[in-house]
Amino acid sequence: MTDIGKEKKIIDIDRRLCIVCGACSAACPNEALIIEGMNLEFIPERCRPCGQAAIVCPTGALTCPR
Amino acid sequence: MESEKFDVVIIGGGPAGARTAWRTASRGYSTLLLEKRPRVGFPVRCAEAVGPREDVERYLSLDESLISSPVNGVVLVSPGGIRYEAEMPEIGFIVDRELFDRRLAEIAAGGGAVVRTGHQAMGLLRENSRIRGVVAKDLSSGALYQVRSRVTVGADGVESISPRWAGLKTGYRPEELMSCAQELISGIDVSLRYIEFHLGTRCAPGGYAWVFPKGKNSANVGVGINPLRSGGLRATDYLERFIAARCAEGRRHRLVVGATAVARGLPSLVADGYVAVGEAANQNNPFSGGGIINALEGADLAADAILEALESNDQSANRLKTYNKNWWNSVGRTNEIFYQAARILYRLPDGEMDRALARLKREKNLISNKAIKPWKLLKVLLLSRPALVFQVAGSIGKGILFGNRS
Ligand SMILES: Cc1cc2nc3c(=O)[nH]c(=O)nc-3n(C[C@H](O)[C@H](O)[C@H](O)COP(=O)(O)OP(=O)(O)OC[C@H]3O[C@@H](n4cnc5c(N)ncnc54)[C@H](O)[C@@H]3O)c2cc1C
Ligand code: SF4
Repeated sequence: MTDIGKEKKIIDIDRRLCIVCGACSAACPNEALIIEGMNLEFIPERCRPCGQAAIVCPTGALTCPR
Repeated sequence: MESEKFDVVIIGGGPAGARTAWRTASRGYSTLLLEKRPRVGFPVRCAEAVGPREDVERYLSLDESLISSPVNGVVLVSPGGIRYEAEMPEIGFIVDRELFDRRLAEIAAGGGAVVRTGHQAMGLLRENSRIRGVVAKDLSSGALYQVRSRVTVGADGVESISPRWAGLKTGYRPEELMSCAQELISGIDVSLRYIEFHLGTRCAPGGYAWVFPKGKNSANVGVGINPLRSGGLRATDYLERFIAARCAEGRRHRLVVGATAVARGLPSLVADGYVAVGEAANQNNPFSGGGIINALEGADLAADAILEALESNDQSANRLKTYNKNWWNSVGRTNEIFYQAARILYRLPDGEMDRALARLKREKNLISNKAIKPWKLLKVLLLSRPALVFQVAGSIGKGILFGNRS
């Protein structure tokens, strides 16, 4: 499954790999990745994108195509 | 928008939040604890190690139901495969973390705190730059409401977003987060009562791999890595590799992943009407990433300052800052030394790490009172990097000054 940004694809979230651990949320400087309850929400308008969340994700669920 | 009033509103129902809630509620101040997950403590994101009984029992009674295994020693395996074993009687416990957190929340509720699960803080309320509570969301109905408070406590754990709202920090750099993966594995050969740490770039670059006994023939088997040193591999990749080498025969039960903060302490933990505590406030031990007991200790120091502020009806940062001082003069100071030690050890190439561990093994009295002596640890590690002596001394001096700044 993918999340699509406003115009370009900013970040891919592989929901089969994601365990909603919150590591990406801790690493994202812009609050673009937020754990709401038990769900990972991506807010594309806030994404710069810097790639930090994808580096920290322990499972490889996040990739930044750019 | 509906609005409620409490003396204290706390964001996050982990150990830091629950302990702070108990302290303020049991003194008669109306206290609301918000936890976004539907169930306190679940899912567990932890290797479940805590320190000695006397430390834990300052906060809750460690009865049999909480204990998975006592810990009576440590095994350290160097990158070159050299094994060090140290008998350390009663150094700690592996606990049932879910039950542990639930107990702490029950104690808070027993003291009079309102504990609300499935409710998330979405932002802070401000009035003339002073923090005055939170905007919360009931996740089952989606309804937003306001909670007005005299003091707001950020105990939101590693995500640590509320301290950013309060202007205390900007977030973490990737290397300030240890990226972790762990499986609960049964049917394996574990030395019951000893915890194992494995170091080196092959098993856990910039961190360590662990085997913590959970009972007869089962253990939490995990790795924590510095994500900038992992050559593009993930914590789960290193976990696979470690399991294949250490306990391929075992049965896997529960995959846990997450990040733990190994960041330097914050110069200030308070803002007008706001206090940060626990992992949200970088209070984890930066050497191990462990933070359960630190969060509880931080909560007590935070609560002391909050109670004074409420009693004098002055919740300004200026009033709350005794917390900064008390933190930096106790655990904060120790953490600063651990931070410097971690920066040396986890960056050493494998061969040098072997030599550093050999030196640590020879060092007498590294352990006292069931804990590593941080100064001794740092002293031995500096022998591997003598050129850093002055830099490290300067950094520590600066760190310790945080506590005494007016
Ligand atoms: C894999 C792993 C292994 C670990 N092993 C150990 C170990 O063996 N020993 C040890 O001492 N420590 C260990 N730690 C670290 C330890 O788990 C933390 O230091 C500890 O949980 C910190 O407690 P806390 O109360 O500050 O935060 P947490 O326990 O994380 O609690 C924060 C709570 O706040 C909630 N929350 C977040 N945002 C909001 C919001 N906006 N609104 C409402 N609620 C919110 C979260 O859901 C969470 O329940 C480990 C960490 C990881 C990732
Ligand atoms: S860090 Fe990875 S596994 Fe954890 S919540 Fe983010 S995307 Fe999911």
